[in-house]
Parts: sequence; C-alpha cells; structure tokens
Amino acid sequence: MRDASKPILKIENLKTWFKTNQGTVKAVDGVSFDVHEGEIFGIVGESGSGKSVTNLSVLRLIPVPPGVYAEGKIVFRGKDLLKVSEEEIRMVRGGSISMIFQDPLTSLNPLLKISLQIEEALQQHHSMNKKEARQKAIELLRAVGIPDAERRMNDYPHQFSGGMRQRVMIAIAIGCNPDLLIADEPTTALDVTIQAQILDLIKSLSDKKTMAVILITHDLGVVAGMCDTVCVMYAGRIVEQAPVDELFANSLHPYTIGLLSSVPRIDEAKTRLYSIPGSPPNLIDLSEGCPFEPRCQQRLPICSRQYPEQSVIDNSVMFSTPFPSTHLVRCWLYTDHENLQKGDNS
Amino acid sequence: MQQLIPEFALTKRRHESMSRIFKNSIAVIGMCIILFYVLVIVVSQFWLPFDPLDMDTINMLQPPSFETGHVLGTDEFGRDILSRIMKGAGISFLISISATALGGFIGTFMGIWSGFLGGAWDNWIMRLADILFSFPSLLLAIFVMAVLGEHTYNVIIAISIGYIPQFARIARGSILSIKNNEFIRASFASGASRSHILIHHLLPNIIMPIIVQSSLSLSVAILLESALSFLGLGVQPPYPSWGNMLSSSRKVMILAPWTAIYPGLAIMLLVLGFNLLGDGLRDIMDPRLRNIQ
Repeated sequence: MRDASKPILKIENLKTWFKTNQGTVKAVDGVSFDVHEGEIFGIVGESGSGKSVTNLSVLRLIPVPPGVYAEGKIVFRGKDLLKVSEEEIRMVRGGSISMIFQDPLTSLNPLLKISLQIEEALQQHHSMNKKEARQKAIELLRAVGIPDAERRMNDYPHQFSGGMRQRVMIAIAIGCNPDLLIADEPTTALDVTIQAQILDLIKSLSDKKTMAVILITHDLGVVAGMCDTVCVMYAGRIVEQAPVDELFANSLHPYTIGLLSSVPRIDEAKTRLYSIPGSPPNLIDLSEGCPFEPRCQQRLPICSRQYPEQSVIDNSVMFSTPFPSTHLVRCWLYTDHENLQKGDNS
Repeated sequence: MQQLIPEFALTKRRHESMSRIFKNSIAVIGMCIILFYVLVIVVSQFWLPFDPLDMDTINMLQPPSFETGHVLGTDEFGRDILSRIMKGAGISFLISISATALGGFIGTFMGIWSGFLGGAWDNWIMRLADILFSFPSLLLAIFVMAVLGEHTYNVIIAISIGYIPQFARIARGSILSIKNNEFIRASFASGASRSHILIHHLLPNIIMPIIVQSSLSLSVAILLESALSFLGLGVQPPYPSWGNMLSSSRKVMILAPWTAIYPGLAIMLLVLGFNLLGDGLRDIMDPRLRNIQ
C-alpha cells in the first residue's frame, strides 16, 4: 500500500551551476521540493528555466566539469544521491529511478534490435539470464500496449512510429519497477492524439505500480490533466508550488499568472494571444533582486534589490489531495508587510 | 538533421547491406580483383611455376615466352618473374593487412577515447596525433625503419605508425557526432557503464567509416611497402617483394622492360582493387549518394 505522506525524494536547496568562460551559469539555484510515493509532480517553466537540469542532477547525469553541484542535497531512500559512489548511482539509474527523454526518435540506438535494448537494461539491474530477460521484455512491451509483442521484439527502431518508440522507451524505463520515473517532456515530439495516449499510459502505470512521476513539461494542459502537485520554475528557482487545482484556481505569482493567461482558450474568442513581455534573463549575471522583476507588471521598489523569501499561503480554497502540499510562493507581493518594510529600509 | 547521423551508419539489416554491396558495380570489381590476388596467394603456397629464389644463369633476362615456361620472363639472375610476383604478393598482402590492422586498431582506440572522454585527454591525444600527422607517411616510415632496423615486422610497425592519426581522427569525429545523441544519454540514464556504452552503442555506430578508411589504407600500405622495399629498407633480397623487384630492374629496364612492367602492374592492379572497394563502400555507406545511379 502506498504511503502518500512519506516523501521518497527530497531535494533540498539544490544548486547546479555550470562554470563557463563567460562566468558561472546558475542553471539551478536553490531548488527544494519533495516527491511522495505515487505522486505525479509537475514542473513547468519556459526553456532554460532549469527544469531539465534539476532532474538530470537527480541522477547525476550532468557532466562534471563544466557542471558543479555547488550546494544542496538530493535525498532518495535516505541516501544523498550527490554523495554516493559512482557504482551506487549507476545502480539507481534505471533501477529505482528511471528516466524518459523528450525525443523518442533519437532515444533508441538505431543499430540494435529493440529486444536487445530492453533486455540490456533488465540484465544490468537484475541477475536475469537471456531467456528470462526476453520473457520479461515481451511482457513489458505488452504492458505498454504494443500489439504483437513477440514479433516486434525483433524489429529495429526505424520500424516503429514515434509514439511506438516512446512506448518502447517507457517499457525500458519501467522494466526494473522504479520508485520514481522522471519524464522529461515525454510528449513534446509527438502529435496530440499520441500525446494523450502516452500520458494516459504513464498515469495508469503510476497508479498501478504506485510509482512516483516527475513530469517536466511546458504544456499547462498536460499539467492540469495529469499532475497532483505543480511547481513553476523561473531562472533556476521555484517561484510557486501548489496542488494542481489550487494553482489553477488561485495562482499568485505574476509569472504563473502570465503563463496561465498565455494559454489559448477555446471559450474566449481572442484575436491575439497574451505573451509575457521581455525574455528570460541571462543566468550568468543575475541581479540581487527577483529575476522576473524586469518583466513583471506588478513590480515593487524592493523587487530589484532583494530576492524574496518563500512564503506559505494559507489555502484560501481547499482542494483535497492525498499528498501533503502547501501553497508556496516567492514574491514580495505575498510577503507580509513587516518583512517588506524591513527589506525596504535595508 | 540530427537523424542523419545515426542514419549514416544505419545498415538496416545485414543481408540488405550485403545486397547493396553487390549492386554497386565499383565495389564488385574491386572485390573481384582482391579475390583474384587472394587466390594467387593461396595457390602460391602450394605451387609455383619455378622456385623464386633459384638462380639460373643460362636463362638470364629471358623475354616472356610460353616455350621456356617463363611466362613473364626472367630477371638478371635468371629467376622466374611470375614466381617472384606470386611469392611477393603474399608478403605485400601480409604487410599491408597487418599494418592497417595494427594502425587502425590503435588509432581507432585512441580516437574513441579521445572523443568519448573529451577535455584534457582529448587535447593531449589529438595533439599527439597532429604531430604524427605533420610528417609525410613515407618519411615517417623511413625514419622508423632507420631506427628499428630492416626487418619485415618493422615494415609493419613503420607503416602502421603513420596510420594511427588518420584512424584516430575518423574515430574521434564519428564519436563526437553521435555521443551527444539522446540514445547515449538514455543509456547512461538507465545505468549502463561507460565501457558498456562504448562497446554496445558507440562502436557499432562508427564501424562503417572505419571499414571504408581501412580499405583505402590497405592500398596505401601496398604502395608504402613497395616504396620501402624499393629504397632497400623493406623486404630484403633475395626474398622477393614487388618493391625490390622494381628496384633491381632499374639497371636492366631498357634491355628487359618486362622486369619492371609486371611487378609494376601487380602493384597497380592491387592498389586499384583496394581503392575501388573503398570507394564503392563509401558510396554504399553514404545515404546521400544512395539511389543515385
């Protein structure tokens, strides 16, 4: 039985930086969140906001150098993944945490039969012989909805369509019954109907196996349909985090509000789509203040000087969720007045 | 565009790529020539028209004739030229294949590690390759021969050293173009070790350009071996090699042109064979040239 209150992954103040000749790129700069058993945790944000880097850091897949894990902890099953040995992290990769990538067209080796590629991951983590691995691989292909699995086992990746290849990727990812699946924009390269099928598949697998999922996306529709909890990232930090219904009903951070209003709606006949003015900041020389300040419609004098602390919002609207989740936001608008005053004077 | 890179090496099924080789007439001609030489070498192990080392002062510098049995004539010591060419073919082949295999293996290995590891390793390995590359390969081979001394095995080493940077560059280039592919990242993400990825995912993807380069290198090795033997640094007389046959015929070339023409033709035909095969293979591997007839 799943225990929804126990976090299986706890990220605390993670800072992943890249040292380049131009300066240090603070791609992830103090991110903290918990993922609970069976939870689907969404991360949204525009390109370059640090979503992918956060998740690559979980499996320590950022090449070091130029990457540096400057600070923070990634606690998974009581172990800090940033501190364990190379051998241990390899056993975690694809074992208890697995990952699927954005582009299924290039995620499979074009030269190898898919049977080999599925069995490879199985044999890596379980002491299975060839025959058992093959049997298991066929079961997996069936589980992800590939018809005629025995025959398709011997096909090469180019004989599969994009959606089918993503199913194969998912089969590889769930092969070792992971506790956590990280899906990095799993449907971006697919068309809409296939998107829905793949997302349904991930959701049903998550329910069946009480597997937690971190879903990285920039599609807010996907978030609304899939996730239990959402966090919004901007310039390497989480600006707002809330249960999904709460976030959509009561979004607070100006950036989140901007994101939500730039989604086209079918019930409103607008001629022009809203877009947030300006472009994301350069992560090399971030100012002291809030990185969203130059683009913000509601900026305060203090915004350019100091980065706001995280404030906890008492849920004005209550939504039931099995996961302990509070509404967190980092914006001076929601920091209490006293703090604001103090910050203003400094 | 990213798709192009794996497609480049993509040989859908083995029998399909074999059938493509047979459809490519250039490659087929090249292969026929090489097979012909292989046949000659096999035959020469069991039967030769004459003993290639046996001097026959009565029949010195005989022109080619069927009556005497010296089909391609005799040289200045009366030795049968056909027998010497046949005997020399084996040595040339052995040297060329061993040198290409040795140089190709070391070079590919260096290139793979260089491309895979990147950073300082990459820099050191490739600068080393650049140094080797800056010498003309014949000059390098002569230098190595002078250091190591004259011996057939040393010819192999001398030629292979010149090959190392060529293979290193090709392997590194191919690795660089595929190592950032998603499937490599996916493999890392599923817990595969570096050596596993190298052997199972990277090597099969770069093997085709390496094969093409090998077949072109084989022809250059034949030429280099002949050149070294011609200069007296390679295979030592009285043992026959095409190079030293040409070398010894210099003095009698005007009197007896067959002493130069036939060994020369033997070299030319084999080099042509390897080059045709290499060109054909390259056309087969390059999808942009496929289906253009």
